[in-house]
Amino acid sequence: MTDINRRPSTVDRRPSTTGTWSSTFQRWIRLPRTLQFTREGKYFIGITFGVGVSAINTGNNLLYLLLGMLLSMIIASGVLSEMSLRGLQVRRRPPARVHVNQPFLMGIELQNGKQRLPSFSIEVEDLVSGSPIDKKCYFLKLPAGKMQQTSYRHTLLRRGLTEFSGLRLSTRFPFGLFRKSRVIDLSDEILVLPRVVPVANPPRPRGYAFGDEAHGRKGRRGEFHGLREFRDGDDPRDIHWRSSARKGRQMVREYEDEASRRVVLFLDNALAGGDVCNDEIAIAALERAVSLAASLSSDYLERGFSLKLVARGQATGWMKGPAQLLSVLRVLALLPAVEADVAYAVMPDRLHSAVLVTRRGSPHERFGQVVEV
Amino acid sequence: MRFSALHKLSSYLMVASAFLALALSQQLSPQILLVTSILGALSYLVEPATNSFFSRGGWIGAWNAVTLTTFGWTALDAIRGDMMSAGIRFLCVLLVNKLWNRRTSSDYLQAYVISFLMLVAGAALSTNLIYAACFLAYVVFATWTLTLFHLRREMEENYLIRHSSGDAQSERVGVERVMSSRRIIGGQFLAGTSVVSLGVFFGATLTFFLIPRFGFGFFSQKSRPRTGTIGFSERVDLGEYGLIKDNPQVVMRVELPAGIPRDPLRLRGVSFDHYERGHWTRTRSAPAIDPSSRAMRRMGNMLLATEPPLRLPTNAVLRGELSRALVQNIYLEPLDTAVLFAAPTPIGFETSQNPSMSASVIDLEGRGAGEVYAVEQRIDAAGHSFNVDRKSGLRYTVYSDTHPRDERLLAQASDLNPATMPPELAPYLSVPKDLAPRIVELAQQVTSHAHGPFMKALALEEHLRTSYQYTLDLKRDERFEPLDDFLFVEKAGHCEYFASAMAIMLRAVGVPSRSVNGFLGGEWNSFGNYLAMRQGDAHNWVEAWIDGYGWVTFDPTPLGPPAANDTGLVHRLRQMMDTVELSWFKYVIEYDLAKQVDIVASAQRWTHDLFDESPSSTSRPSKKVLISAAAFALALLGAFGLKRLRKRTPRALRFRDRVAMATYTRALDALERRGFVRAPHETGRALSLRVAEAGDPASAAFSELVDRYYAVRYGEARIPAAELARLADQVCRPEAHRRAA
Repeated sequence: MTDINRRPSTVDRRPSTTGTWSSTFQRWIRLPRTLQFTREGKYFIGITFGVGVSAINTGNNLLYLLLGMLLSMIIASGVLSEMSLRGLQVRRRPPARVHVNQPFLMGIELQNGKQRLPSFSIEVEDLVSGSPIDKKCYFLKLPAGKMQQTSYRHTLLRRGLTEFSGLRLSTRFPFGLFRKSRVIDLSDEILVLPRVVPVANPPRPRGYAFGDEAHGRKGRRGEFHGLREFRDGDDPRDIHWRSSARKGRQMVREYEDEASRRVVLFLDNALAGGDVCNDEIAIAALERAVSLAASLSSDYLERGFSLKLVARGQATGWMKGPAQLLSVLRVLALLPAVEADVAYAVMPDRLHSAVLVTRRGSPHERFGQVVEV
Repeated sequence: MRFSALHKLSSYLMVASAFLALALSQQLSPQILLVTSILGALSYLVEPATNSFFSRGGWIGAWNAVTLTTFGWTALDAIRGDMMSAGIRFLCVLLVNKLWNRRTSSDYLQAYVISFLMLVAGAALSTNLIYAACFLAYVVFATWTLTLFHLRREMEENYLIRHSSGDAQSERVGVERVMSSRRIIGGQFLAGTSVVSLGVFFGATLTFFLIPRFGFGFFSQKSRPRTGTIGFSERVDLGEYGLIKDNPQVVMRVELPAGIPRDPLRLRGVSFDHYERGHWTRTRSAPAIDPSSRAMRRMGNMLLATEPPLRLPTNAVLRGELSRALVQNIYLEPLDTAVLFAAPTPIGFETSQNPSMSASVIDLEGRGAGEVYAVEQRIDAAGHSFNVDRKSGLRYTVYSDTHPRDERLLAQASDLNPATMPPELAPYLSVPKDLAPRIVELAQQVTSHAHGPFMKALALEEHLRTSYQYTLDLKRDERFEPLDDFLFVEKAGHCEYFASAMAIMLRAVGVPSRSVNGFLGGEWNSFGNYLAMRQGDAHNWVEAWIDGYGWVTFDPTPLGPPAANDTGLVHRLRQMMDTVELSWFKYVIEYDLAKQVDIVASAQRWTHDLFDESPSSTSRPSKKVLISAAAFALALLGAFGLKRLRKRTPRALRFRDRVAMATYTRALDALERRGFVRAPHETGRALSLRVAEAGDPASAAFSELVDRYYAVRYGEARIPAAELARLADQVCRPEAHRRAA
């Protein structure tokens, strides 16, 4: 069983020192700065070369003087760009939730740690698995000791964990001849949640109602059922303080709800070949099924249902209340595709309503309500 | 100042400095110069980017037509062979085009490229000192401009989108608003970039001096514009000198290691042997000395030459003479003559150029009439080498025997026997066929009491000095031959008349003589410690052949009114500028591998002297001071580096740090056992807040422990280990502690 309550946030920040052997080795062999010619820089080098050849051929000393000027400008360019890049600290400010195929704003915070010198013309690019994404943030002028924030808009196309491995600071200051870059290892893992969309005609388990009626059920209490550990989203009024003090961790009361207000949402996560399936259509269908399961979960939890999510090889505990949606989404975000011979962690019973979300054409004899995608 | 306005201003200043550098080359016609300047200046007042008029098809088409026409015109001129003039004219048209059509940043960039090409053209065509000022200005303005241009383009590329949260579309941001900002660039920025540009300038200077000068000479070396001089061509007309007497243009600078000369320095140039009706010419144009005549020899780089029929003494004697000779280091401006000037009587000539290291090989060639010429070796299409006169300016050294003449010995010299005299002297005895008889009579009358050539020459010299007046205000009576007019009608003239009269009268009494053109006097420049010879210092005198002695100099011109001793500010400034100009030519324009080798050798000598322990080593105290200063600077540098190193190296953990860490870790372990796992990103304080929110009984103790731990680790605090341990115990066993309490 997956522990769904362990991490409340969808972002996990890791220190830069961690990583695999290969990434450590890459860090070791990586140059502290990389230099890339711009188009103007290539022309500039060409002109410098031409002036140098002319000076040598003609012996004209004034051409040597011009050559000296061009070479000095290259050196000045290197020194100033280095001064601009030095002493900068950058942080990522990810949003609280990131959903598949939904644009989000990634905040970038840049601080100039230098005491006197400002930094000019700094570009910040996020690196995903070492490669820059197509968006960048630009800081025109960052005064000494100051901090500025900006953001870029991005969309992630796959659910699950996306690793932002670092940030690349680069500048073409002062003359735009070269692009000098510096990579800062700042690892963040963002959990990309499945997309939640309104469902037009959701399957109606027992006790399903429409409109405001559902909200009226909120806060109803059934018979006392037992104690469990506190999870995010639980009502603090349900904390059982005596038990909490005895056990050393927060415990909450759990109430027996009516059977009609419980629903088990089954999701068929079977794919031929499991995680290494190459069938793009089947994969897309599974992703749609995951998104639909997320949307149904949202709907049921909003309506006051206790929800249990069951997939092949995985199942959650009972969850209730809209605040638990994040936990469901986290499970769905990390849900792998498995072979069809893997059984559901829990099988449907007669006590609870069962809704199956599956791909079209998959077997579903034992389920009452089935939604095919 | 607004960003866009500052960018425009610096761009125009950069372009203007490059245009001025090109204009100094004097290769631009006045019309092109005027039109480009006016149109360029007017374009500053318009904003083609915001005015729709400048985006109309007609306007753009007209400019394209002008550019294409000029291109065709340039191509035609280039085919005719006037490639450089046509090229720079085309550059001017392109520049004006770009300035009137600067709509985007690309237009600005193209204008910068054109300005750089102008600077290059200026470098190829100009050697003027003002080019250095233009170059410095260009470096400063280019640094500003390129930086501002870069920021402008980055703004255009990056400030287009403003993001909004959620699914709402991002909106475009007007670049104009950013460009109009006054906050981006301030005085501090300009000061900073000025410092950078000075760094670029000094870097350029350093690079200039350090790049080895290996010229391959695929293209001919550029020549500086020559100064027109009078009196050094194949023909000289009497009266010409009067025209240049007030000309202050410097034609050569003479460094004298022996210091300021007591008497005015006389620098001999060319001599003339044939006189006819006011014109001096040469019967033959200075043929090269026959090496077999023993009148010319080479000693290393030095050319030793005398004039046939004289012969050079042995090397041993010559070395003695050279050691006593007056040394003159002469920086000759480009003149329309290749003759090397020297104080009489020159013994040896030397160029500092090493022929194997330079683009063009310069050689010295001794010719008749006591003249040495600079020649440049060239190779023709068939691969044969040939010499051409080098008239592009030169630095050379002359050794001259300037010891006072032994008049007692000279007075004993006898008259020349025409039957036994050397054939080389024959031209120097010819007198014009139409020479007025009264001139011959006057010569004979003046020398009637003199015996021998020297005494006759002295008598004529004295007569001319005392009986005639020096004037630049010539009044000539065209009915008389010029010498006749001078001697018997006007009785006043300038140096040419005095020298010509004496030379012809000497010939009339049988003494070989010739008219010599050169320079006399000059102005001592106390800033640069050299003698500046100006056009106005040109002078004409006489050389007479004294048998058994050689050619002896006589100057029959009476002294003119003494020149006013100008010590005013303007004069001093002029001298200062002249010194700067000399340095410019010496160390920039004429800088070559030989000078680089000299600098390295000087550095080696200096280093050697610095560590020389011998008592003869001079200026020891100053060297000790230098060494001490260097050691002090090194120590400072070392201390600074150590400080930086220590700043970067993490401080080693002390014992109290380790104790605090162990105690803190014990408390963390205890909390973890109770379910409070510290996340990697979570600080101790954040964890303590979480523990407090959860209502853990040890939260207060843990919070206090975190504070103490921070104080020990990062605040240099000294907190007893027992106190930390007590707090950690409270965190580990809160119940026990509560019971105990």
